[in-house]
Amino acid sequence: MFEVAMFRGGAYKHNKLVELIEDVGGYILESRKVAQEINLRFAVPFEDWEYIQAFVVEELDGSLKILPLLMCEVAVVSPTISRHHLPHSVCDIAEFYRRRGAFTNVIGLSTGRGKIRTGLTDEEIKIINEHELAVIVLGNFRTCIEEKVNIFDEIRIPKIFVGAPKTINVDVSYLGGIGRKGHRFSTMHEIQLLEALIEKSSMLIKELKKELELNPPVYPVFYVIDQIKKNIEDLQYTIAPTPLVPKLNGCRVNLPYGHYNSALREIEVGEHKLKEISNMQKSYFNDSILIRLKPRYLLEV
Amino acid sequence: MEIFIESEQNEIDGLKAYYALIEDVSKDLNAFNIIRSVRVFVDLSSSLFVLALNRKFEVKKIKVNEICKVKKIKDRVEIEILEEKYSPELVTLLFQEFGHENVNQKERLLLEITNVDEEAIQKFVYSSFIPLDMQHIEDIIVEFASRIIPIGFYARKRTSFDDLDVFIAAERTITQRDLERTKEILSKPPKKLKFEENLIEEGEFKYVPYKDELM
Repeated sequence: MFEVAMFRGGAYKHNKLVELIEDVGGYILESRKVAQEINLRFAVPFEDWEYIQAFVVEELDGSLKILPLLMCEVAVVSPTISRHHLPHSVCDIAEFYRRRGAFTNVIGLSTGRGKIRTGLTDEEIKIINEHELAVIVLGNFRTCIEEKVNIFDEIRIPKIFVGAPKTINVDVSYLGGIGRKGHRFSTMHEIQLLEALIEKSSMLIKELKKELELNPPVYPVFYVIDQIKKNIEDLQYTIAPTPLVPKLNGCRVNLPYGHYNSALREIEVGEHKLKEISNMQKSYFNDSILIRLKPRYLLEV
Repeated sequence: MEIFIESEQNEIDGLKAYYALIEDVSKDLNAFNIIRSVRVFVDLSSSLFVLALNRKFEVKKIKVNEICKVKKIKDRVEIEILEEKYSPELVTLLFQEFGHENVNQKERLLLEITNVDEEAIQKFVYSSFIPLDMQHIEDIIVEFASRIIPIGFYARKRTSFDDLDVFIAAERTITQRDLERTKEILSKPPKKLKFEENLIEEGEFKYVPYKDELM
């Protein structure tokens, strides 16, 4: 598996780092050059991580930061999109996840308000299940949260509930201290809460990664993404902020399914075609294309 | 502004969060000049939410010596009205206060009053009014309530008890029993929450709760 990290520093001699990453079999995911500074997101195999660290320390001026959530698309779920729940604390949580490398989507439920009539629609369940992790931001009172938690049972992905009470009497992954707020997360105490949330998420994602390591795909996700970038030229011209979203076992291509589905299927990845090594489906989210790589053992069969 | 929060279930964490939320909304809407105190009662088992607001108004008074020239001539007092717009109302008020037999309207803007002390006339209040725009106050109060009441409590009723503006909200139909219960709750004195000081000691909030200097 790969270690995903971000290099931030001077652009001078950064080409040497790029070469080293490519030599050890790593991938450059994103490279942004602003004036004399460069922001480089990359993935390298675990066993070569120490070489990269040593090289940055000895040769370059800059900082290295591990991004445990870079391969994740996180759904930040809010009971409504009304003023009661947005922008604080939902947007602050989403922003904090983005700073830690995750790709976030804020999802406001259509019938999420209240205690008695609250519910989830089929479409909402399907959209949330397309993500790697769901952070569900609930309210201030324990009684309401304990009743509301049950409606999210159909969500299969790892989920973290967030609310104001410190603890609740239901056996779910829960973090207290973050409820309805009227101000930004600005005090030290509040930032610590967000850090704790990221830590909890990282642990869940680590477990997911371990599960995936048992049945890895034929080609690493980064290689597949690289091939898609090379073959689909229109990705350069799309106005989507993130045309290609890497996921733990695949990726999301933010292009219309109807137009690009057939072209994507025929892309050659190593000795196979993409349609042979992956399940491709129309996403419920924005008409995009969801690619999930098949595990190796399925191909061997 | 004083904030009182009570809950049937006594969920301290939830009440803490609500206290902070009310403070934030007050800051956003600059409601400190309008609202003297806020009282919230929540019953989660029957999904009842009561928000009672005590308005704070500055009443401005206009006295006779501000709109007239008051002179004492021998045993009588002469009043010259400076602007004609005050004349009809002021004359009627003086008739009511001091009697028809004592007030004599010599000219359009000149009055003569007998058997009354000069000081009493000068301090006589012509009118009292609320200087702020009433609609503006109303808008702030409604916005304040709609931001604080949980969005799931969609059935809402506005009423008033004594000098309180009361908003009752529920996740079901509001019944007569809810109104009676609200009356009963508001007739009892509010309980002052004790967690504020603890919060500062624990360092959960770095800011000091707002204290209205005008009060």
